[in-house]
Amino acid sequence: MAEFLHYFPEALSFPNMIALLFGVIGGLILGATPGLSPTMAVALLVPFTFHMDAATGLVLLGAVYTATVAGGAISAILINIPGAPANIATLLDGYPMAEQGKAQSALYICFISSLVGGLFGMLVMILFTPPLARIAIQFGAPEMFWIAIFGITIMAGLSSGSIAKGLIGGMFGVLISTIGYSPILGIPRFVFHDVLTGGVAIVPALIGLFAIPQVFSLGEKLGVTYARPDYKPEKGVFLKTLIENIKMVKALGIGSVVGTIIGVIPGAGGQVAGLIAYDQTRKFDKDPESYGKGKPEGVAAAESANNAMVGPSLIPLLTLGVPGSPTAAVLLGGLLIHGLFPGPDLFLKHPDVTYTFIGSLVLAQFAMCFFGILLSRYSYMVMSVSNLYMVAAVTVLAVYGTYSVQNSFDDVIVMFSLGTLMYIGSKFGFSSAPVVLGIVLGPIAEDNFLKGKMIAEASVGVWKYFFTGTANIIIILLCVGSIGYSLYGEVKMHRKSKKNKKEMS
Amino acid sequence: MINRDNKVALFVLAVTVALYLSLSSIDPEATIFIRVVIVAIGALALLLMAQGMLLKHRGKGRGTSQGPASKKSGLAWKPVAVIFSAILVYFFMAERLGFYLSAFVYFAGVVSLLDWRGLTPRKGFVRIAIAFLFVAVIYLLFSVILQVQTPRGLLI
Repeated sequence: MAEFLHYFPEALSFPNMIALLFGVIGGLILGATPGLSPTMAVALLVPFTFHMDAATGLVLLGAVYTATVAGGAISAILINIPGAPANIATLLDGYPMAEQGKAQSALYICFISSLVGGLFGMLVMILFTPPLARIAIQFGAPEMFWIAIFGITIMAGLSSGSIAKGLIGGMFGVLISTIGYSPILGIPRFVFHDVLTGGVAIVPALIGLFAIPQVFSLGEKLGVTYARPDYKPEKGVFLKTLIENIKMVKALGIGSVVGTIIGVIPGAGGQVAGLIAYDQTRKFDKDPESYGKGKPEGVAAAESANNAMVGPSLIPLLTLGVPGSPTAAVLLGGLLIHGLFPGPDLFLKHPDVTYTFIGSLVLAQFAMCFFGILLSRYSYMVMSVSNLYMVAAVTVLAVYGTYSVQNSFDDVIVMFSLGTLMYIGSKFGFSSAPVVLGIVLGPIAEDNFLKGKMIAEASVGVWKYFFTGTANIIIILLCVGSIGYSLYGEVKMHRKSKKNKKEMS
Repeated sequence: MINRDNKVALFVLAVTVALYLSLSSIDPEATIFIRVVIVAIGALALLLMAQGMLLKHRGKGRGTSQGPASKKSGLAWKPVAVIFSAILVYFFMAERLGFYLSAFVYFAGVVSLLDWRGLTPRKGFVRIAIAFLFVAVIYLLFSVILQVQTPRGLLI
């Protein structure tokens, strides 16, 4: 906490504040735009931060991340389409409120609750991240290897409907990361073309895998038009809603605690946080039947939960170098292009950048609430943007961003090729997140595997070095548990759909 | 009949075999990690195949485990093909005309091509104006303020 307070004024510097405001306003707009995923929005911004100071670049990315999660609630409330998966629970009561002419009140509750949950999550992050980093610094090569594998298994299980496909995607990501020269012997591998000589850089991969499939998907949905929301802001609603919102202590408390716990679990994400918090708040309410019919507590619980998970979701990234969500994987790309390697060392070697980033996330919560309330009255304009323009704009930004990092057109070709292959893969049930995780964690896994192998061969042997020791066993069990849990979920879903089919016939 | 997941698994298996064979000419020390990963992918492909056989209803439809592959996606290949071709042309233009001019041509071109049926002189003008405005904002923000280098060609 002392370090956090020491570096906090850095977050208030002029360039950082400009980046923060730009990120929050941009994030709210992108979050509210149906069809654009927050992960893709952050991925598109990563290359532009390369031309900024490391701290300022991260402030921008953190602000966009915070604001897109809250901004997604605008379209959930006004047109019944969540701007991000994290806002699915918000629409259950948010949209009925809008139908009853209480859209303004629902939006205000959404942003105030997001602020409460977001601050709670940040507090937990500030208190727990540095001690966890001190534990993680004791990890050696085998533990770091297993942590990288664990990162892939959790994302594989949660981002894709099929654990096998998720893991295949993750492992293909690891293979992509090995393209280029071998880290120890310097021998070229999979260099089928000159373009691949330097390997696949992280930014082209991030942008290609997240943005290009989205461009094609937007192309598929060109005919889709969203209903223009019937929303007329009135005066005096804010104060009334604020008082009403403060009284929702139970919903805000449940939302904040659930969101924080879910956030720490790598891969679980805001969608799960929002739905669990909503469900628990409903169960603890005296009148559970009123939920789903425009109950303000439902909106408060869902929104406080999905914003409470923002800070804790970065704990695995900052302490172990393992991204806890697809957006955290993109943020990892933002750190890497500045030469910052996430993990326990981050707090020791770059405390200024790390704590400025954390401080700015706290400020972003306030800015998100303020601008969210202010801009929500103009939100209908965002929702009327045609997919046509988004196709063109996202492509131009993807090409521009990819090229600008290394001034290399080869990167643009790699970006487009990976994106096109991912789009084809998505038609067969593969998703981008595990592949990205594989690319990001592949070098960590390979380096530590090779280092560990060399140490093991000179000492206790490979089996003993990698498969014994408390930390190794715990992480291996976590990997097995995460795969087992996902398999169990698949079998359960299969049985449920079989039962439903029988009932229907 | 072989279902969709099994086809995917067979394809993945074929790819892993091809990748494994391609490593034969490289020093095994440089590829030991890759070999482990390829074997893991092969094992996962077999798991997918086993799942496809045990959970028989899986994989019969399109995009068994993901939203984007809906029933509609099979029919909407035309706009995807138009976007794909337009992007290739954009790449070809970018190194010759420069980033900003080619971005403007791509932006105006792709929105017109994707909705050519609804194109009127007024709409065409609006689209060109939006394309110009978008590229101008990018130029001001990134080239002037952030001083990011881009491919230069004709004009800017």
